[in-house]
Amino acid sequence: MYYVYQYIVCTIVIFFVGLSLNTKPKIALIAGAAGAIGYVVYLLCPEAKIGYFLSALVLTLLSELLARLCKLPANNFLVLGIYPLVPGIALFRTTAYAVRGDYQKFLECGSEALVCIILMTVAIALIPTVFRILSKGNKKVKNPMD
Amino acid sequence: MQDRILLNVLLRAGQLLLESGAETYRAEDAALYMFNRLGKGDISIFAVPTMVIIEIDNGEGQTISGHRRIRRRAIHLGKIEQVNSIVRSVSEGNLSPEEALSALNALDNASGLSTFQTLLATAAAAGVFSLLLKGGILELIFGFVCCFLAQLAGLFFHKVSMYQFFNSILGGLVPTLLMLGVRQFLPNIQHEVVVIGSMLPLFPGVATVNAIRDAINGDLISGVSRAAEAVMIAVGLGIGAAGIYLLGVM
Repeated sequence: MYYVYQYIVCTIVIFFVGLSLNTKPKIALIAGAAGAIGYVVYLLCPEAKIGYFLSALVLTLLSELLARLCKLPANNFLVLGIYPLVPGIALFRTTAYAVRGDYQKFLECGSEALVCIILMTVAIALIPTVFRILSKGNKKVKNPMD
Repeated sequence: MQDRILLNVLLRAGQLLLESGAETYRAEDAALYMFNRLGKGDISIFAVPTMVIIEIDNGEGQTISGHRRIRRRAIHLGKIEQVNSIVRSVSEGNLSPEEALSALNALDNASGLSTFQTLLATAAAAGVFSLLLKGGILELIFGFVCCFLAQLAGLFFHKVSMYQFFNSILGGLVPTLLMLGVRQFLPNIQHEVVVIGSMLPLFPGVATVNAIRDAINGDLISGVSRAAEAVMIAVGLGIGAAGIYLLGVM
C-alpha cells in the first residue's frame, strides 16, 4: 500500500514538473508513470547506493523504450523521471554542514551524495550505449533521432 | 538559392533545439539527417550550447556557410518534440525545405503555457514533492506557497542576463526565510522537507542529464559546459538555502 501511494504521488510530481517544462500533458503523464517505476525501484532497494544505480538503470531503459514507442526523444522522458531521484536531502545537509563549518560531516555527507550521482551517471550512460550497439547490428533502424 | 534555403532550415532547426534545451548531438544529428535527404555534397556541422555553425560544400566548387548564436536558452521540451517530428518528416521526404522552414518559424511563435501557468505547475510539483519526502498536508501547502513566492520573486530578474543564477538563489533563499518565520507559529512542521521540496523543481535536471549524454557522445566541450551550468544552478540553490545559516539564526 505504501508503495502504491508513493507511486501515485511520484507520478503527480513528474506530471507537474513536465508541465512546468512545457511538455504536452499526455506525454507528461506517460513520463510520470514511467518515472515513478524508477522511484519505486529505488524505494524497494535495501541499500541506497544500489537503489540509485538500479533505479537510474530502469528509468533510462524505460525512457529509451518509450522513445521508440512514442517516436519522441528519449531525453524528454529521462529528464523528467530523474527529478524525484535527486539526492535532495543529502545535498541540502551537505551545504548546511559546510556553512556551519563542520567539515568532517560535510565531507562525509558530500561524498555520499557524489557517489550516488556518479552511480546514476554510469547507469544513464550505460543504456544508450547498449542500445547503440544493438542498433548498429540492425540495419533496418528507421530513424536514429530517438 | 536552393542551398541557401536548405542552410537556413538546418540552422533554424539546430537553433530551436539548442534554445529549448536539447542535447548538442541531437542538434547536429537533426541537421545531418535533413541534409542527407535534401542536400548534395558535403556538410560539416559544429554545435555547442551557445552556437551552431554549418558549412555546406555542394560539390561544384561552391561553399556556403552560416552560423546562429544562441543567446536565450529556456527549457521547452514540447518544442524539442515538435522540431523532432518536423526533422523526422523531412528526412522521410514528406516535407520540402520551404515547408519545413515555415513550420519551424511557426514553432517560434507558438507558445506553450503562460508564465503564470508555468509558475502554478512548478509550485504544484514542489508541493506534491513534499509528500514524497514523507511530509503531510501542511508541508504540501507550504511547499506550494514557498515555491510560488520564490518563482514570483525570480520574475523580477527575468530581464537580467544572469536570470537563471539569481532565480536559483531566490529559489533557495525564499523558502528558507519563509519557513524560518512559519516555524515560530507551527513548531511541528518539517521545515527541511518543505525547503527541499520547494527547491526540487529548480534542480538542474535537464542540464545534468544533457551533460552526461553529451559527454558519452564525445561532445566534450558541450558536456563540460553543461556540467558547469548544472553546478552553477546547484551552487545558486545552495547559497540561497544556506546563506541564512551564515547569519547565525538557525
